Amino acid sequence: MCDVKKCQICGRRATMFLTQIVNGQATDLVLCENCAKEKGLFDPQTLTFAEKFFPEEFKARVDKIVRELSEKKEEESSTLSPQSADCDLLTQCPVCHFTLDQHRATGHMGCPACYDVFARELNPDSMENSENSPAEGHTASPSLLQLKKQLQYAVEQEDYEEAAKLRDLINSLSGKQG
Amino acid sequence: MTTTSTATAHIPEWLFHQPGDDGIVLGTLGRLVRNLPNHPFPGWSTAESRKAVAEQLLPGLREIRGFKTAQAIEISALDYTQRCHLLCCKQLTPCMAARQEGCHVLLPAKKDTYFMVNEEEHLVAHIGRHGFAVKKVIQDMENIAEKLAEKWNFAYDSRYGYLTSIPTEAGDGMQLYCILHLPALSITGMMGQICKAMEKLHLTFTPYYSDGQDDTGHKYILCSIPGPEDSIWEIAEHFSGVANHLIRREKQVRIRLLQSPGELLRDNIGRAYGMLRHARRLSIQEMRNAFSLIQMATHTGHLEWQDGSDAMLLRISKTELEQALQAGANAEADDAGMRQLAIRRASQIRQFFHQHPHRLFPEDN
Ligand SMILES: [Zn+2]
Ligand SMILES: [Zn+2]
Repeated sequence: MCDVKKCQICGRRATMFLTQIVNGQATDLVLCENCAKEKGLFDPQTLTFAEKFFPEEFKARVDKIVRELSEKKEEESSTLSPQSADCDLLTQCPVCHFTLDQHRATGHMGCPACYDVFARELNPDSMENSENSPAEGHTASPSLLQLKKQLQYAVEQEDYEEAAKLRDLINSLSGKQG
Repeated sequence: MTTTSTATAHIPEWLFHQPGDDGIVLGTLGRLVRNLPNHPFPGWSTAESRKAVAEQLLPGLREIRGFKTAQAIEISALDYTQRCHLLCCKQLTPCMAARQEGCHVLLPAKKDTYFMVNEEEHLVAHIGRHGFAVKKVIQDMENIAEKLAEKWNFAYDSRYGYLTSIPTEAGDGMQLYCILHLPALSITGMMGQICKAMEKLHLTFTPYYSDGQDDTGHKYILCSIPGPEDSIWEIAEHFSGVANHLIRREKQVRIRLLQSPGELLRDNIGRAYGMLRHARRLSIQEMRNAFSLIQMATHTGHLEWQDGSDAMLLRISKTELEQALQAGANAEADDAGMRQLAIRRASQIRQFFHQHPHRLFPEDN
C-alpha cells in the first residue's frame, strides 16, 4: 500500500514500484501506469513481482529506463541547481551512502540520518530564516486542514474550479510538487 | 506453508464480517509505520542489513500480547502463488510481495492485526476492523504505538515526527484506509467523476482488486495521505467526512435507481443472478461484478436467503476470495487452462446457489 509515491517521469501518482540493481547499486523505479505503458512495461502484476520473476529481456528494458531517468536527472540538477555549486553540503549520506541525486530522483530517503544530511533539500528556507518570525501585517494563513475542509465543501458543491485552485494551494503548501 | 489451505486459513475475519447496516463500508484498516535509527530503509538496504533489522524486531514483537504463537513467514520462502494468496487476503502489501531476504510477515491467530518487518519501512503494523471504524482503528494504532515505544527507540525528529523512507510521509506514521462497496455508483458510470473528485480532496482512491482490472467487484479503497502537518485525528475528520459523503451518495443512487421507471436496479440484480445461476463459463471479473450485485441485493432485501442474510454475506465473500485464490494460483495457465478454470468456477457457483435456498425479488409476490 505504498500508493502515495509519485511517478518519476510525470509526477502523477505512481502505481508501479521496482528496486533494480544497476551497476551494483539498488535503484528505485517508481512509475505511474501511463508512463509504464509508454515505456513498454504494461502489466502491473508482472512488475509487482518483477524482482522474482524477471525474464532477462524485461530486466534489460528496465535497466535502460533507469539509466535514461538518471541521466535526465543529472542534466536537470547540473543546469538548475545553483545550491550544489556554492555550498559545502554533503551530497552523500555517510551512514547509508544514499546520494542527493538519488533523493532528487526518487523523493526517498536512504536512512533516518539522511534527514539531517539532506535537510536543506527538505526545507530550503530553514537555513536563511530559521527563526519563526511572525509575519507582519498579515493574518495567519489558513491551515492545511482548513483548506482541505474548504476543498471538501467545494467538491460537495461540485464547484470544481474552486476545488482545483484549493488543491493546487494545498499541494504547494504541503511541498509535494516535485 | 502449503498453498490454498494455509492461505484460506488466513482469511481475515474483519474483512469479511459484514456489518449489520448497509454494508457499504466493508472494513477499516490502519497502517502504523516505524523505523529503527542507524539502519538503511528496506528499499535501500542489503540483505545483511534487513536481517539485522529483523533480528532486532522479531523477538520483541513476539512479546506483544497475541503474537507469541504468531506464524512468522519469510517472504523469500514463498513462491508466486503463495504471495498472491497473501495479497488477496490483504495480509501482504504489493511492495512487500516483491521483497527478498530478511522480510517477514508476522500473522497471529487472531488475524485483525499483523506486522510486516522490512516492508517499505522497518516495521509496519496493519490493523483491520470490520465496518466503518475510524476511531477504533486509530485507538488500536495508538495502543500498538505505545507498546512498540516501550521496546524500541524509533527514528524520530522534532521537526518531522517519526522518520519514514518518504519524507512527505513522516509524522505520526499513521494512515487510514477504508474499503467501500459502491455498486450503484459503479453501474451508473459515476466512478470516473468520483475518482477525480477524490484526487482533488487530497485522498487516494483506488480499486480494491489490484490485478489490473479497473473496478471489478465495485469495491474501492479510500486512503488518507499522511504528512507532518496534521495529526491522525485531524486527518481522520477529513477522511470520515469524505467517506460519509460517498456512503450518502451510494445510498441516494440506490434509491434513485430503485424508483426509476426503467427498473434499473432490479434489472441489474436480475441479470447478475441469472448469470451466476446459469452460466457455464465465468471469468473472475464476471463473477466479481455479479457477486457485488448479489451482495447488494442481499442487503436491500431483493434477495432473501433461508440461512439468513448475515451468514450468506459471509459465505459470498469467502466464495469470492476462494475464487480469487484459485485464479491467482492459475495466473500462468494457458488459454485452455483458463477455460477449464472458468468452467469449473461456473459449476461451483451454480452449486453454491443450489445448496442455499433463496428467493429472488420476494416483493413481487
Ligand atoms: Zn507517469
Ligand atoms: Zn542515509
